[in-house]
Amino acid sequence: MTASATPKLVTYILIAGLALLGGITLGQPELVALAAPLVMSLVLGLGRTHLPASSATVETDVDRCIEGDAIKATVTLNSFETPVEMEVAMGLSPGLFAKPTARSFTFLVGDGGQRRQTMALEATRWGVQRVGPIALRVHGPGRFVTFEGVIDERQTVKVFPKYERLMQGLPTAETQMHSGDHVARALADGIEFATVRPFAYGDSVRRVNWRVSSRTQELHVNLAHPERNSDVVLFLDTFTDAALETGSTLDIAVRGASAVAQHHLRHHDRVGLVSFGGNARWLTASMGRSHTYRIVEFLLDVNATFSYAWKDIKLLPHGTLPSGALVVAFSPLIDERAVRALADLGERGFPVIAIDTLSEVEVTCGENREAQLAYRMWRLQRDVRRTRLGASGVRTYSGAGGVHVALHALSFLRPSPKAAR
Amino acid sequence: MAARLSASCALLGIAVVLYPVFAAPAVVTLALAGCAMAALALGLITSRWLGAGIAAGLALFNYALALLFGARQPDIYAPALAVAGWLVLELFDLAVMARRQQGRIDNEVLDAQWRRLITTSGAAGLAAVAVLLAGIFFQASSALLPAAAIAAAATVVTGVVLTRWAVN
Repeated sequence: MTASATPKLVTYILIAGLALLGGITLGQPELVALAAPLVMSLVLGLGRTHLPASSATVETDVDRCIEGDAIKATVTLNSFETPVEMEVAMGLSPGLFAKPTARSFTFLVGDGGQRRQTMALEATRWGVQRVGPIALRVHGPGRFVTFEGVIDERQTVKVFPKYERLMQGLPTAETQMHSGDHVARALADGIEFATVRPFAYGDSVRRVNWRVSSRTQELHVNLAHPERNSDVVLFLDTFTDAALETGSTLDIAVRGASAVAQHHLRHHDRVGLVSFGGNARWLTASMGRSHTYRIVEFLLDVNATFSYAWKDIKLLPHGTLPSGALVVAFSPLIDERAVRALADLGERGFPVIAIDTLSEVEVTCGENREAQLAYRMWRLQRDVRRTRLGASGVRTYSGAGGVHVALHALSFLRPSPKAAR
Repeated sequence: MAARLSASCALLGIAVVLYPVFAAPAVVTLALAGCAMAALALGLITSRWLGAGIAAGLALFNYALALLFGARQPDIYAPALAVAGWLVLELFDLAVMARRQQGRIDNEVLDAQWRRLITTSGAAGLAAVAVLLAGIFFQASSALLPAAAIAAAATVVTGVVLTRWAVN
């Protein structure tokens, strides 16, 4: 801890010194009497001041929560010496909010005593948020000397994005072999009735349609569509993060990806993730409850990383993009590398849906002529990018207006003309 | 809390600053008292010790002038003035603390401060009386300087012992 003299100490010493000097030089005992309380107060305060031996810890009632949840952080202070006035302030990550009055407090601790103070926090943004460090300011007796220090005591709280519900899942391109909630176009064992055909050697007797058989005087069997799952790969463009009024583009991407992933995992689909940016990361497609947690943990660590290095989808290992998987991309369509990668995916035959997370209407145009010209050129450039994606078979939807709008657009997508098998 | 402390500090400060004016009415003392009041008010508004320091310095200078030109000798109210002046500075400190601290201040802290003020002001008053008496007693003799120094030291020691005993 660093000790420093307070302005009060300086003022007391100056005034007491002036009074004593004036009293003795002018021969006025009244002036010396005037200095007496100040000198006594100084001696009394400084005589009892020493480096405080204290410690502080912080703990939270939860280590993971959802956006908007209330968190209680408890600070425990120990002081092993004479009672001291202790001012405590808590450092918080930007994603946590506390009222200014609840963020710091002052109390007396001492004689080996312990004080606990609970702070009410609110998780305002997803991510790995930290409570701490603890800033301590200990006032010596008389408040003449202040000891300040920072205790590097931190507690981590994982704040998961608030769950946004999709009205319905995304249209599947190709169903996979595992059983799921999607009715495949193929004919096999299943519940959904497809058609009737004449009995063939090897058909199960239980599948004989007796009505049709009696009418045609020939055995016929029912055929059905099997219930299969599908593969969805979420592609997050993390080259850039543009802050808008309705939220940053990365924020929209993470919330949207979280909603799509949770919806499809609930419907027994396999979901994979690719964070394509300066720091490329991926999660191979899988299903189940444990994978839900893996995805959420993955999304918490997503951040925009700037890089000059050229990157394309060859960077991704084999198996990250399963054959026939539906690729849902969240991109502000700013970085050329991400746009090229999406176009490349489309050209390789992957059904790609791109959600444009940058709302152009929120980008304000300057007043002067040059700024207006630049704005128009920028819009044109974005149009060119969208057209190029369209030519590569990538369907682009605007997510302008926030994650709700993007998810609403996704909910109403119809299956592509390319038949699902 | 901060407003009440500031108001108490300002009222007591006015009384302390105006005392030399009543002791030796003159234009100079009145002007100095006005300046001291303005400095104190500025200090309270900005929560800065510079204002309080300037106000205290001006009040001290004003009192010295009042003692030199016209006030009764010896001034028997000097110990009371000393305690009042010290209280003004302590109240200023509390007002600044209450205003600067955004968070909650535990009642125990304020109670401890009030206890300290009451006990120390009693001891400080006694110390000031002792210093004044010693000063008056030795004023005529040539041994004023060492006597005053010894008296000051004795006063401080007595005050510290008394206050420690009172606080603990």
